[in-house]
Amino acid sequence: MIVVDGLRVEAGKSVILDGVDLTVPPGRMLALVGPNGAGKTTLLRTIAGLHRPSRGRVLLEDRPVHSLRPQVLARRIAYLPQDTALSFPFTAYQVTLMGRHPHMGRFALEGAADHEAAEQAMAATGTTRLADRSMATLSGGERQLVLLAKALAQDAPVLLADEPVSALDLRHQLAVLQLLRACADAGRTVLVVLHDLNLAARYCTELALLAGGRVLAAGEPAHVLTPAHLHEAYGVRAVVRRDDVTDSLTVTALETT
Amino acid sequence: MPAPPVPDRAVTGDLPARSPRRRSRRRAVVTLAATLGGLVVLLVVAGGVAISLGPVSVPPGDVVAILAEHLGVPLGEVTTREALVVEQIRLPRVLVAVLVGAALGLAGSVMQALFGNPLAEPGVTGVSAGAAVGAVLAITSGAAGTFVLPAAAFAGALLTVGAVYGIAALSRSRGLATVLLVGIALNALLGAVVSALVANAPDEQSLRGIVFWLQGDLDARTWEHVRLVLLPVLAGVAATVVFSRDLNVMLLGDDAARTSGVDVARTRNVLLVLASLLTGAAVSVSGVIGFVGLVAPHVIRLIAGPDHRLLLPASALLGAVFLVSADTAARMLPAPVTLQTGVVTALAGAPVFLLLVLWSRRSTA
Ligand SMILES: Nc1ncnc2c1ncn2[C@@H]1O[C@H](COP(=O)(O)OP(=O)(O)O)[C@@H](O)[C@H]1O
Ligand SMILES: [Mg+2]
Repeated sequence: MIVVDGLRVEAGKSVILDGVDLTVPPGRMLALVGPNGAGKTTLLRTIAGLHRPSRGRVLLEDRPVHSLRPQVLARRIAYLPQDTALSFPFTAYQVTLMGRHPHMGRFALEGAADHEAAEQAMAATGTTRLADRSMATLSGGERQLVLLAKALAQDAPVLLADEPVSALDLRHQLAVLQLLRACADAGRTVLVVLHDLNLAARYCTELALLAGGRVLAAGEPAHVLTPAHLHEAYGVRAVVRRDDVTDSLTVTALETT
Repeated sequence: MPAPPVPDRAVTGDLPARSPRRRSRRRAVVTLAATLGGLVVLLVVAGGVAISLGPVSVPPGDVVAILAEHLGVPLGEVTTREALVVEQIRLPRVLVAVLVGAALGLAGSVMQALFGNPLAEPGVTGVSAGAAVGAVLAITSGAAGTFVLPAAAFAGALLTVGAVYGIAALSRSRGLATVLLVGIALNALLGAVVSALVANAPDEQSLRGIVFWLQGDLDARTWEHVRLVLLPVLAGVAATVVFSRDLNVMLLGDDAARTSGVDVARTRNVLLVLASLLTGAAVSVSGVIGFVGLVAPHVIRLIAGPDHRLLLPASALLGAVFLVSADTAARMLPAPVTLQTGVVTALAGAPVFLLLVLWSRRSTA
């Protein structure tokens, strides 16, 4: 369970997040949505313990994440960054295995359980055939899938993913969201940043709409995705309808305002 | 992509026996054993050749006999003259080359990992330049001796590491970019100081001494030098190897590394200081020697991949092989030509490096 309580994050003199409250219980999958620069990445990084809040706190099972050692935190929270640069030619399989790092002793080599977790994560993300390829030779989407496999191999009860489908084709977008959904259904806590509001409404039971460093609205899709909220957050005129086929909300932006 | 699986820890039985990952795992173990084993054999051969060659030629059999006797295994008679040459001249020189080469190879691979840049070299933070200032000061003041010269050089290296950290701390952003910039500035500044000292050298003899030190040379290295560098190098090797898996993960970037359980800031500080001290200790007894720390990690990465659990020890071994061989070549050049060890490493290392650049560019293009 993740509890974000009165969070304020500053960088230099600018306030990036202010007064953010969120609660995500286990078994839930929450989508963070909002315009570019709203603070989604900053919020996710703060939850992952990468940013120190100037006010408020992030609680993981009632303990502030900032009080936990990196290794302990990494066993509880896996984080998939928005983009990752890799300067040396590790293979996709080696990168996936790195997800096992927090579970291994300093001098330990990967054991059977670690290899099993990595193979399973690659199978789940459909990246098994990329296993022996160098990360440098993969496409952006393939790299993103491998990094998701690494996050899964980390086997943490909380999974944070920053725009995991932004570089993916239609099929893989669905597959990854189904996968995250399955993680939540298996009892994990999942927070995912999405730009596609339709996918967010379809796969997540809860949404949090961020704009200008504040939570504009949070709750079930019907509550969050209203023309008024969308207008305020994105500056667009939009209609929101229920899609008969998927039985979820769809947003169509008509024009900028 | 299959239907949504259950990515939970409670799943799946055994792997298929012939899974492709199983095979690549076995391949990794074979690569590790073959690379390290091959390098150890190379080092023994290079060291043996180095001990056997010289004005007094000692046949390989006698080299083995002399060394074996010291280990308490009498293998046969050897002349005292041969034994003296081996024990007092060649063996300490070879050992210094091994230790310095290993330190530079290791420090180079650590720096390249920390800066995420295959062009980083052991002196990137300015330690070598700092050691040079210390050494040149000792030489020009006429204080240089077997002990004073390395001590002054090491003091210069220490002060430089301190300065890098002091300045980086003052700037309040202890990021790696700051360390790199401070290192560049210090390298330039200390290089200028060395040039000024050279221009104002009191006499011909100190000038010669300075030039020798700046090019790096292993002439007349004794057991005293071996003792000076042995402990720092062994300790440095042991300590850096402890962090080898952290280095792998750190190459994913700061955020990914920290959320994978690596205390990035602390690990980076510890390793920067360790690698700098290792470099400082090495150049203190050898003078500035280039290209070993740059080339060794590149070659290993090309033949055995980027995993630091193999890369670190293998780069140390290859650095040792490289320096021992370069030093033997420097000693054995035909009469009118004299080259210093550091000149040979550059003469041999630079073309190899260029080939590697071409090769890796082509294979990734
Ligand atoms: N280190 C920083 N210093 C100053 N401003 C920052 C920093 N990091 C992010 N910001 C600013 O904070 C805002 C939120 O950024 P981010 O969280 O990346 O937004 P999002 O992921 O929602 O697009 C942006 O306006 C960005 O420019
Ligand atoms: Mg973002």
